[in-house]
Amino acid sequence: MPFRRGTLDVTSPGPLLRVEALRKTFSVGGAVMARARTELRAVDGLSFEIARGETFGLVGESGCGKSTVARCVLRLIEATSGHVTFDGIELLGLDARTMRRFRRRMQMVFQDTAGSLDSRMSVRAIVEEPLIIHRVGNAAARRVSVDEMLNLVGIHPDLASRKPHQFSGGQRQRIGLARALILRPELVVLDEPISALDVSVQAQVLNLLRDLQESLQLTYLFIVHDLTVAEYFCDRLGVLYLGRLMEIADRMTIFRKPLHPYTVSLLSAVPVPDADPARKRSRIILSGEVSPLGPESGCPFQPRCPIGKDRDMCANQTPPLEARGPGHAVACHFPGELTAP
Amino acid sequence: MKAADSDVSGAVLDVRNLRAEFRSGLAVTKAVRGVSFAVRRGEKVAIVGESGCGKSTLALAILGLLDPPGRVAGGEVWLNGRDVSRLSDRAWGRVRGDEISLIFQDPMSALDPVKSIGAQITDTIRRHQPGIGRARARRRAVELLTEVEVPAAARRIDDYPHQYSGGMRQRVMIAIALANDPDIVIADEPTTALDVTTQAQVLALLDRLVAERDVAVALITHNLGVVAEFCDRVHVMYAGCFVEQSAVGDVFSHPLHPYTEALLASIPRPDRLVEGRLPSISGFPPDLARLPPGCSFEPRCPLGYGREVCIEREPRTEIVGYGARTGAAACHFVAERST
Amino acid sequence: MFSLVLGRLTASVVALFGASVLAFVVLRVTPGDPARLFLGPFATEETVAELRRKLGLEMPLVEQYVNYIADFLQGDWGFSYTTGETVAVQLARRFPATIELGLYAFILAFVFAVGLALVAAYRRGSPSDGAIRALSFFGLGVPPFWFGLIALVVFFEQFGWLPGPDGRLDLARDPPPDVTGLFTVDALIAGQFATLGDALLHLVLPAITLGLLPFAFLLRLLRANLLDVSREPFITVARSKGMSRWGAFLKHALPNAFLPTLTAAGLLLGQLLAGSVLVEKVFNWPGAGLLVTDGILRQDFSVVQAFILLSAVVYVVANLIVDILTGVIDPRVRQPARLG
Repeated sequence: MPFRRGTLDVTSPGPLLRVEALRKTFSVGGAVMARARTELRAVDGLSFEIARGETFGLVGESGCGKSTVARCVLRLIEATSGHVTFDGIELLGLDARTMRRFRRRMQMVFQDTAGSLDSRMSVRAIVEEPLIIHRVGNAAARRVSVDEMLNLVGIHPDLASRKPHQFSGGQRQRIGLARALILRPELVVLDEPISALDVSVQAQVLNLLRDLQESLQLTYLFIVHDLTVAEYFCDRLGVLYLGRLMEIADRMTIFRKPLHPYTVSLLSAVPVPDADPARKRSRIILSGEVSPLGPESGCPFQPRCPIGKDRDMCANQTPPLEARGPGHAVACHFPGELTAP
Repeated sequence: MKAADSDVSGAVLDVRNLRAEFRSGLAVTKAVRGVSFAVRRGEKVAIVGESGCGKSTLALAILGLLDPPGRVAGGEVWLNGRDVSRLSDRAWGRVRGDEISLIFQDPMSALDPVKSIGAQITDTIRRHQPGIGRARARRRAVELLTEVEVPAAARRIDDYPHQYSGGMRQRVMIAIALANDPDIVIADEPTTALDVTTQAQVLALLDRLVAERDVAVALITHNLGVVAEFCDRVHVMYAGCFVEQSAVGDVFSHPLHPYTEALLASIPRPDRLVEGRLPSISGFPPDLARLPPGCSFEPRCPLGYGREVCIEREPRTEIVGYGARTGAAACHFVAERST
Repeated sequence: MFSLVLGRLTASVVALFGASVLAFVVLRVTPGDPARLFLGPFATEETVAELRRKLGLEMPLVEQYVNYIADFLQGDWGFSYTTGETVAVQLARRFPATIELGLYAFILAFVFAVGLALVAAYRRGSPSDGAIRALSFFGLGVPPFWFGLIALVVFFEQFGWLPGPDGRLDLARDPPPDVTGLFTVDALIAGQFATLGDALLHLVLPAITLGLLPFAFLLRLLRANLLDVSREPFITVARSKGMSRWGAFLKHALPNAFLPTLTAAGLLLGQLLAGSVLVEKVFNWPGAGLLVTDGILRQDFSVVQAFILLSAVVYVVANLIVDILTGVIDPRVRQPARLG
């Protein structure tokens, strides 16, 4: 199925999305008067690319900035600095009208299935709304589109007159997907789409996402906190910590040969559903918790890093993101030193 | 109906055929439908199920905390050799927090926002250890906070919940639950709301403390990995019933019930990279207000879907033995599967 | 904490400023010429015009306003043309009566609202809950003056249990020596227990009448908040520690439910002043409300203006107190969450 072409489509060669040195800071703390307002660097110089048809994952725990990145990419919030290039065109700085036309090509699916759907609207109205906003087709054509989309995500069109709360979590997520896809976007940002769902439903939705990607030729930016889900679902992934990329590689490499101590710790922390006592491994348990106001200099992970805690170099020099293999980059002074126990 | 491998003598907690339901108007939702299990001293038992299977209702029912419109409709709960299921609220007040305690799932809303952390720990200490006095209770609270690895406990004891992070608050919950050296702790999804690395920390902590004090644990969770790392025995819950009961060593290698097997297959794992589609369970969890007459899992069961006996009759729990291992499952075809 | 208070004070001053402007402008805009009223219907045009000039009514509004505020702050609250006294003197004489009435009305409303809300929320769905809610509907729907009149008919005229609309004390009794202006307090200080009893008896009906609406409002609000809070996990956790259901309700649900109710209560305190206007008329209570009613009917600018401004002050002060109290009760307001 060929890509839909609009007036602004350049369809440049190269990645569909390129993010360069993206930064977003928030000012926090202090009352109106004087007390020093500190800067929260939610996203601190992030760069990555997503090729067409690829699934790219951004993995990290709470406070790492992954949701902020997603929103900056779609310009739902304005980045402080950096570049976001979509299909060769710089998005940051575009005026509202032009940006609106780009919004047709990039959509988002949210984690909160109940909150992101207006509980007053029927499912049909929810899925139809993007068509109305972007003035696509007449009422009859829209009806056909909505029915087609609902079928595609596995919701029977007869149920379309119901309200969201009458559906289960998994079904609501499908409705959210239908809404996001009705305009046939090229890029879909999935912000923790399965975290709020039951385990047995998660697999269903992941399979559906796979199928849709194939049939509609979608490119995914997949935001998730569960590294194992990311390893399963994504082609390439980046591990975020306090707004910075710690490691970026394809799934096989992350699975077999993670080099950054945070990635290793993250993998080690996931409990394995397998009770063979011989495999009861000793885990790497990180000490302390994430402090959102990270250190000014040096590696952001250093205070908790099993190998960097006591090293001056890690405390004082920020490690750059450097290539350590084909398509594999790590931001660490001592990559590969910490191995899974 | 109990699984054969739980020898009830010496059990701290013995739940017998417990039933709980919710009534709203004419509709009756049967959340817990005849659950039986026992936990021995120092044992760590998991109750695994997804949302809507009734596990949280089970926890509340055991503790006598099920408020209207919910009610316990039948069965008994024996704690330390006596029936507590019919106790008055007042009598329960002496038991809860002392012999049996609860670790709640959502650390963000499980603590009173307008009372200091210290006050919330000392109040349970002073309730069950009368005559302990303020100063001693406070010292004990600081000790507990230090044990659960809250840094600078002496200073932070007077802080308020909103000044603690999620992981810290969960540690406080553990401190509160263990404050009076209970015999058994019921932990309802204690780490679900936490980050993976924080989860690992908190589980390690819980593991250590529980072993030190020989406390029994009933861990309620949907995370099978946590079960594997932490528990000795597993009860799998579906639509208000236990569909499988096994030792942890067995349930992962030889699941007896089709639901358990399908669940295990559908989760991505850190130690194996799955390619292609994830085998998923079709359909949705059942509506507990309108359960079919037969097996509640039948509509989604790869084994029993469409089979007459599964549609018509609800399966009884069968005890199965193979080799040195025994388990139990509620399935018409369990014998078939275990050979 | 300090920054909290300072911030609120600043906001209060701004609010007062706004209220004073509004009061000033509204009164100037309404029809009616005070100069003409003072001079009577037979005065000539020139006399009226000259008086207007003398009173400064011909000056531009802004100048009039500035002068007024300057005077107000110095204690000169205007001259009441209908009575011949300064407004300040009149209000000073009458205000304590209103305060006393309002105070008892509020205490009654508050105490009963809290008590009944606790019972209603604890026994949710039971007949007692239904009865209490019915009572709150009654309180909300019944016009205070109607209730006052009926109460007088029943308790004074029919049964003679309570005194009639003859003010704060029996006509034959002397008021206690003036310390605060509140008869009950002054009588207590002076040891005149018979006077104290009489003053209290006279307060019963008017206080209940005035407090009925705030009572109903608080009751419904607190009950709803209690029900919301009682569903929170920390209540279950408290019970899991061994606390009884009632104990958890009282010690954990009530303080948390109180916070949103407190804000509403502050608004009500201000409204008591407004409500007193009608109630004082019914019971012939010699308070500021009665003064203002008469002032409105006689188009006495100064009195009405001063009353409006005073109401604004009461309102703002009440809210300031509520804000500070919220800070005292709710640690989240005092100490914002630490980051990291």
